[in-house]
Amino acid sequence: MTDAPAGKNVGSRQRKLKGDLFLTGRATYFNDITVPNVAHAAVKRSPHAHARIVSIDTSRAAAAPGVLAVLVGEEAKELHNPIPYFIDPAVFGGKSPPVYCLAVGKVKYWGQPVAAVVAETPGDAQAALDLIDVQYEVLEPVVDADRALEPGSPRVNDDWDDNLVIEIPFVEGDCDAAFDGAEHVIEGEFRMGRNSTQPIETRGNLAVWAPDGSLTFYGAIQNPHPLRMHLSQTLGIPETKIRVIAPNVGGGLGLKMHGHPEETLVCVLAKRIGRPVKWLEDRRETLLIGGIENVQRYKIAFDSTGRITALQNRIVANVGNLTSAPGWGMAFLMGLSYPTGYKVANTDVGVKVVTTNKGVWNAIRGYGKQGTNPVMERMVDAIAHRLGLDPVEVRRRNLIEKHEFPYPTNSGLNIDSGDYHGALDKICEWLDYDNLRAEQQRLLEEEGRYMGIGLVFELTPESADIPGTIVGGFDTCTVKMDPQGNVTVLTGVTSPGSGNETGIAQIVADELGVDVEGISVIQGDTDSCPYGFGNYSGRSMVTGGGSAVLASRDVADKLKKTAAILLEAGESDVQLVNGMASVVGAPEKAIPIPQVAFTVYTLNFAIPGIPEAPLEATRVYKPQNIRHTPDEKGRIQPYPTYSFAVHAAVVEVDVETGKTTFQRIGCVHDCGTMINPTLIEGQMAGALVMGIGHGISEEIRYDDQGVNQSNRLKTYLLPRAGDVTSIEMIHQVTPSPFTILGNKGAGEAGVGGGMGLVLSAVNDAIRPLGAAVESLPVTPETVLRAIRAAGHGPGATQPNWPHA
Amino acid sequence: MSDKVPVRVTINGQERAAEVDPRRLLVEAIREDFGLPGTHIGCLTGDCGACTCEVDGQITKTCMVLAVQADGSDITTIEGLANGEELHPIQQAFWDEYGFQCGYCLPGMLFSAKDLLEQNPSPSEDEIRYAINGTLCRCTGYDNIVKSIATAAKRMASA
Amino acid sequence: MISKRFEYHTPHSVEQAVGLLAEKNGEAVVLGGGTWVVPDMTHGTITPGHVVDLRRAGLDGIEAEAGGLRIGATATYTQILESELVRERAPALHALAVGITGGAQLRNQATMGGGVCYALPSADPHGALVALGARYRLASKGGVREVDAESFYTGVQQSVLQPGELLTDIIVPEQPAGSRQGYYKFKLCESSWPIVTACAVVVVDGSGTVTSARVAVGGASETPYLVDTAGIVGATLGPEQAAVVAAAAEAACARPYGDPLASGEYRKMIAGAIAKRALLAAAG
Repeated sequence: MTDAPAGKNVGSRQRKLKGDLFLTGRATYFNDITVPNVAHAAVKRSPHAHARIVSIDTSRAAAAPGVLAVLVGEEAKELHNPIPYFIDPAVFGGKSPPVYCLAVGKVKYWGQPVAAVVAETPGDAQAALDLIDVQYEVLEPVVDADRALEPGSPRVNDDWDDNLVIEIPFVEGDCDAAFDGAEHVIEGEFRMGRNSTQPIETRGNLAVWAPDGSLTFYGAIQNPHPLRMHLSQTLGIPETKIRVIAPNVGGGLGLKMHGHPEETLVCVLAKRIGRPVKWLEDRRETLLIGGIENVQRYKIAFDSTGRITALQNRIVANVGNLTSAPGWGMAFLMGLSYPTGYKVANTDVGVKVVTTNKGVWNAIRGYGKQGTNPVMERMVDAIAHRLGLDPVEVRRRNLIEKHEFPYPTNSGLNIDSGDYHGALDKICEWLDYDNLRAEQQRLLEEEGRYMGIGLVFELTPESADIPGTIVGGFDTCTVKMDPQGNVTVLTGVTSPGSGNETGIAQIVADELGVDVEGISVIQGDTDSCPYGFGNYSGRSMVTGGGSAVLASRDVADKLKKTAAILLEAGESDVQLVNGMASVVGAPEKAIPIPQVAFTVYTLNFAIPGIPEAPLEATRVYKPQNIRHTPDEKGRIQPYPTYSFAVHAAVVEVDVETGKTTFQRIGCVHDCGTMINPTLIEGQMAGALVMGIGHGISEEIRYDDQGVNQSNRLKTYLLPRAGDVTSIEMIHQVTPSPFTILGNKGAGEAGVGGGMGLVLSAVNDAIRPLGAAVESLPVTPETVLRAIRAAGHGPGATQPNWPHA
Repeated sequence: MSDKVPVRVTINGQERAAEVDPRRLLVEAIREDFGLPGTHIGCLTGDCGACTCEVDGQITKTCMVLAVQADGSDITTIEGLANGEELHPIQQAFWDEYGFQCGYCLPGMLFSAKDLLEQNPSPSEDEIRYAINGTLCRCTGYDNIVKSIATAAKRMASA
Repeated sequence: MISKRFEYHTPHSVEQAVGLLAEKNGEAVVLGGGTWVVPDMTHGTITPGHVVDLRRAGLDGIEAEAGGLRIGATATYTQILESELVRERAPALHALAVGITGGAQLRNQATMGGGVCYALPSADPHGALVALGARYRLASKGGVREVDAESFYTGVQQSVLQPGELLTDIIVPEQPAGSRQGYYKFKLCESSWPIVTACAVVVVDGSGTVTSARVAVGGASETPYLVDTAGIVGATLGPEQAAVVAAAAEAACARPYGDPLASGEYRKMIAGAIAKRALLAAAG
């Protein structure tokens, strides 16, 4: 049962804690940290996607101005253990090559670190890279995942028999029989390009060794405690000798989950030169890291009422060069998340995770669910079109109904709660759906304009715990009140800017009856914060919020016990509100909370019955609904909560150029109980626009030799303010029965929604032309080619004259 | 040839001088030589706008300016926007309307907003969006930034 | 940070500037607004030994000249946008300055002259300057010469600009009496460089008949090009005439330019539509 506090802060639109520091340029980010005597590292990267390293001559670089050391892979390999996998495919029966911070023997992708220079200034380090002479024997690269699966194709890892990392089946029911007896079947092939996170702050790492052999590691990172463990394993020193500090992070989005070579590299270099070493990622390096790229070959069976009876899907994910970062797991999620919130009796989904000579993956907000939702929605739209039914009606007929929750899915998930039809109704009301369809028809007939109405459902499993990995589904919080009544919260979750520190403070403020803006929230320091897993999977308010509730209640209990003695009242009659401990129903019987705190610390011997000082508690919160004991089919249930949304957009497609313009964007979002609607709206708007970017313009492109073609933010196109319009945010609240506050993860929903929206809206617009797009991103070129492929030559589709 | 060169600037109203490596970009000099880290580095190619400052009255991406070029310039950085402890109305509106999440893009957003409102005190939504096209934000989806600037405009008009 | 060391120069005149360029003999790069050169230096794609900054060379004026317009090489897009002279005599240039990728900061920093010299096909001004019949004034130690915009560009980031030569001014000649200008810029989205641009200068007489039309397209081909408009002179502008120009614009795209943003084939596919829109903008 949900057990939300009744205070004034939870549910309110509290502004961001310490916002003034950010607004005045006084917030400290990674690159603002200075330590004495620091040296700077730069990384020499491979100009080939696949090549054997014949020799490396570092002598000229070593003699260059300001250079302190040059390191190559063969040496680095002796200085550290293989970098542990964040999620090791081997845990699930797959293969995983050892990963070192610099390439050993051969390079496996364009941009792979081959050597490193550390110098007095970043400029000197950069300049010396050109003086490192690497001789390569260029090998044939394998760039395409289908090609990589063919026998005889080049192998990315010499000691593997093939390029398959792992194959994961998700099978339920009898698909073959269902297809045999199907009234209708649609088959398709969907291609999703490689996109990327691209927070405005790039990554960075700084290693400082102390004379006693202990290490302080600063980084633009999301998961300090797990990184501490991995650094310990990589460097061969106990975790007790490592402190990891994450300052304010300028956007994480999954990129700053660890397993990147540079984390190890700065530690090794710093040890070698006996000075602190800092590395700041260049944007060109950030653009080496992508994800999502996959092909899905699907087949869906349905009856003449539009009810889906079976789904088969063969997903081939191109994870590029497999690395220690958790990105590859997104491919797993693409399969696991089918068939999202739809009821499909028979499913046969298989995922092949394929390594190639493309760049590496890391996590991307959405963590693979955005590989599922848009394609599932595309199938539903296709069913509607085939049967001549309205796409909203087909959704209504197939989505899980409100009374059916908790709902076990075919892949073994257990969806906590929901009201999908309620969300559909709300979005249609906002759209004025029937009239909008009429207007769409009128625009086409009278003005020759192609309006598209996109409408998609999005299911977002959140706050995962994956057994045997460092992906943890619980977290820890310490709440302390000092003798003067000031409150400090230390939490294992981190904030990459998402605002969870504010949400956590709101929870604590209500439990303790104190002012929210006076609460100090400390995150991102393994020496001061309790053990936690940091930021990913929309977990911060579920696990960080839940543990804050428990810890502050323990402190509140002590305060109430003390106040009850001082006020001569029953403990259960004492409430903590507005800075006062007071007796319910007797407002004159009240005492300031700081005075209660002072009493605990100073009159502990004097007054019998006063609880033990200090006013501190550390608690862990484990949400319910996670099940790690495999069921009879070997399936586990790693997600406690399932937030969902229905998004809609109205677009116009310029059919002469293929360009899409957004006119309206709306969203009905349901993530259960809202701790702070403003924070949730911020998360959703940001995720939606990121998804729209992934849907319409963002793609890391490679040529056929595996050379990256997207080296700056003018060749990898992020959405800007003028590309989108205001977003109407409509809330629906269906609390989760499995979390203490009834809240669900709210950090990732929207990415898959935005991608799906673009696809759905554009396809709706160009349908009258008989054209369709089955790929992402839906660039103008893609759209125009689809229109031309449908037989419309230049001029055939021009708008009526004159066109404004 | 590696000799440092003197650069004199007025920065946030203070006259400052530093010996600067001529290879330094203005954003690097502002951060490292003048000790004002509120101006951020995001791309170094003029695409993201996180390094925006006001230079001689014009909002400028300081990653596309050599530090030596700024000799004699009057520069305002994000640290110089507030009036002491009192936030600029645009800063206040960004706080009240949750116009930022991670805060990294704020130099670009705040200076673009200031530049806009100085020229156009009551902008439409489209004009606001156009005005901030030079700065990327990956957190907010721009919605609350647009609201923040509209709120600032209203408050500044009635002040 | 820029890694290669260099020497920085701020000449106070064109004479000093071309003197420096001659003296440094190919080792120098000219710095205008810096929006191309500085990032290229940061990335190490150019590694000049000398940087000749034109900011004090007195080249940022916009003035009337012989019925036309002289735009100094270092005039920024903001200056162009705010110039009454530009608005009167070359409104197409005003229009192109509006949507410069990179926002207000870029308008303040980037110069049209710099864009011309960099000669990347995906840029705002090339097509417009060809349509307007602009001439580029190039100075060197040996003297001054003028080159037509149309013959200036020779390929992707290639032009007739010689080492030691400096663009000092862009001359926009007086346009035909009664002419109207239209400019259209197609970008994939706000982050994108212009993909295809077009500019039209059209004279329509009192009866609605087109008496002259000059249309140019930038970004579609490796160099900007003029479109054959003979098919619409003498006709009344309507959908058929627009289609004629569109077809001519597509046909004239001789060396389609492709980059990671858009293939050459795509640019050629839309060149006609973009040219048509410039024509419509001119026709009002």
